[in-house]
Amino acid sequence: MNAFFIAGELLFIGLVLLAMIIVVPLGYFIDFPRLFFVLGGGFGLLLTSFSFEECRGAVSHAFGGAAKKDELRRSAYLWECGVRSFVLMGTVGTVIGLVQTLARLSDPKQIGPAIAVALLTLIYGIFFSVIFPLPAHFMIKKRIATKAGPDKSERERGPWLIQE
Amino acid sequence: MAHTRIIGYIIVIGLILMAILMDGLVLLFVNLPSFMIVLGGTFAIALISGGIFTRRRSLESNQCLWQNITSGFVLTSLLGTSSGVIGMLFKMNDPSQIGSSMAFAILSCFTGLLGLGLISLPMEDHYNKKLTNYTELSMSRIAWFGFPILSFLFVLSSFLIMLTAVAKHLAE
Repeated sequence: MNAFFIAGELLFIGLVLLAMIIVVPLGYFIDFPRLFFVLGGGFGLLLTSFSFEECRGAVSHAFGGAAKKDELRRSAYLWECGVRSFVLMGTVGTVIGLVQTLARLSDPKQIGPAIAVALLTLIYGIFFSVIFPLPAHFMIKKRIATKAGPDKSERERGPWLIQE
Repeated sequence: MAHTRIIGYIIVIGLILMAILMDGLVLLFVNLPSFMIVLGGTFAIALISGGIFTRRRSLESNQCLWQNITSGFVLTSLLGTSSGVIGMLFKMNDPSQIGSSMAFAILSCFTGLLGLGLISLPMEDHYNKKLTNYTELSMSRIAWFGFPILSFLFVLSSFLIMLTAVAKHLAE
């Protein structure tokens, strides 16, 4: 865990919270059942594809644990799946919330808050995917690139979420 | 490996069921046309791409099949969502008529997301991990990130259409 990682995380969280506080009260953004839904669901979706050991290994690989190149590739793939699963869970929560607002259409005053709460899960999903899985993916990709040098086939495939 | 897969499925399905049952309106989530277009359409796409009913299958063909199914879920549910939005746009003058096409739009998106997250992506990961040639940029890989955002935009636009229709109706 290097200093840049901590500084970047703190900067990101601070800026997001600051922007939220300036525009609207922070209390609008806190909803524990939906927070639990996105966190637990994203981790559960990750567990449908990877085992506990692979997850633990991927965390240690992100911070410089010794590994072979194949294991590093698998960990990079795991973190990409992490980004995907959090965003997917956020969208599922939003769609569920929007369907539940359909039942309350008779009262126009309730529509606004219901949609706002439904959108919260999407915000949580994007926040959690940006806050750890995405930087971990970048760190492992960088380790793969600097370890043996990018081989030719990898360069030909083109960068996807990675710039050399 | 199998144990963690079962634990993950229990967590995800339990959370989704909890979110649905919290409001007590289960019947809102049942919509036959959207199931038809997403599940049936995906099955048809898998049939077209081949490799379901053949006897001996290699790992590569299985991987290819599940990537095709992922793309199928994405494309069919976008098809359903956009056609539902079109139906809403044509019936904008009468808010009471909007409901069915709106439910179609949102629920085809929902079915596609669930099929993607619970069925096709775990299987795709299973074969990707075995074969380890997953660094190439495949169609299904783009869908992972693009599809949730796109479907969200469609659903939000359908809600905006509904709100403008209702506002117009109230103003008259």
